[in-house]
Amino acid sequence: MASGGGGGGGEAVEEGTTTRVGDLPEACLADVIALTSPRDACRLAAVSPSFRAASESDAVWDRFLPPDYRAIAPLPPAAAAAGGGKMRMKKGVYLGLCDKPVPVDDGSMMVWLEKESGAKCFALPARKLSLPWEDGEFSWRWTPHPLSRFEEVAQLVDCTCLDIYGRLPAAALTPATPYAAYLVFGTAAAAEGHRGLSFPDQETTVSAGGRVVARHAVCLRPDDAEARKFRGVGLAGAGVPVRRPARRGDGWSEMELGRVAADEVAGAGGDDVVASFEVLGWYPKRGLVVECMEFRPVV
Amino acid sequence: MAAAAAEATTDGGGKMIILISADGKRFEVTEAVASQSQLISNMIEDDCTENGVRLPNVDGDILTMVVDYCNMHAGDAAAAGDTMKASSTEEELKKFDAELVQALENPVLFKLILAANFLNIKSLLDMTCQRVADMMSGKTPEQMRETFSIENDFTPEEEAAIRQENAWAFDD
Repeated sequence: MASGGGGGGGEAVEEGTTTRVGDLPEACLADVIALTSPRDACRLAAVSPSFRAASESDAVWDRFLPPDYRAIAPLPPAAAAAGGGKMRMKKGVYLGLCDKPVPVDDGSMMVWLEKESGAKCFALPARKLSLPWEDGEFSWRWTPHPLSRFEEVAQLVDCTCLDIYGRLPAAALTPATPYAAYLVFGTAAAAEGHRGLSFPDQETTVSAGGRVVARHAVCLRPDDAEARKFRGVGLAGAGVPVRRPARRGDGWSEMELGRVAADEVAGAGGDDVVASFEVLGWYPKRGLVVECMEFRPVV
Repeated sequence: MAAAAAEATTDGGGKMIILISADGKRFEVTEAVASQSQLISNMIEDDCTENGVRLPNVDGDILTMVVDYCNMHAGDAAAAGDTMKASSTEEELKKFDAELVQALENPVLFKLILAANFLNIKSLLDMTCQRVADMMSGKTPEQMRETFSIENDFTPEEEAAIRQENAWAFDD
């Protein structure tokens, strides 16, 4: 008789033979755990040995990994060869993809997973963004940067009009997940300085399938003193609440460009999700260092 | 077609099948109802349901629930052609499903999962597993042991090592 059958056929359930969660076959328990979350699954490992076995099984983590994860992270051959470890390989793959961005498309983009949801995150390096006047050396200087994950970043040398676009196919995003786009940036070292990045006449947009779904007033380098100077020469823009950048743990700053809802991504079909940053005023700007644009799930 | 004792014909036109629980209770259902179980559907295809289907590891009270569930859901396919009818039944079904799993004590819920797993009724298995998953979500290991009456077989050292290994999941 299979486990949990509860007696041959006479009086069914008695004290002590009550069916418990431990009576479920491991495959069933794994089905259950796969319906929780990666965080829950990791906690479940500490409940009991049988929970640990089920919660670390590939059956569970296969469901947390994106279906196309092999394109991002080929299974390590050493792990595949290690017989017993084979059944518990995918938890490691999952956690590895959360902790370490992986270059894809010949290094033209970084992909990793958001730990709580398993949704894909993307970083488009400056080279993959559309920058104004990027064809010459006069506006942008391409240079390696000690804090960057990419080979080079773009440093703004000089320009008057500044707009930056990044695009990603909507189909690349994890389905049923709202996303936010971010500009990851810094400013040039003190010796060179920066200019024209403090006045709050900067605008961001996010669009899906050609339709603008978010638009915000922002300021990359809030600086009240410089902003007052601009206001003195007659530039408008005061009064609107502007978004400010956030400091990141890796030394860069980031500005949220806007969000796109899951159904808006789905509505874009085979089209792109596009995020932009633009300074509306035509005045000299310099010193902006663009590392990348990121698309991350909203948590 | 020769009509065996267990194969009466209903007004719906389908053949009837007898399901027999571990404690000998008999349930007469149509083929359409019974074949939501992939196990029984295969048996019907193999023509081996004539003398009733014995289910030695499903108790009568659990089989009652399974049969109720299958009776409710047998209309799914039939109603699919009729949009108006389908939408109203869909609402009823949702309500029925929610009431079925919400009210269950843990041991009964686990028996229902075992039965759905054995009989291979995917929608019932998904629904009951989801209910257990909802009970697990957001709990600490201690709360989970309490909720599910689980013995902690780990030594304190083992448990500490596992928590260390999964530290990110505990830092909130």
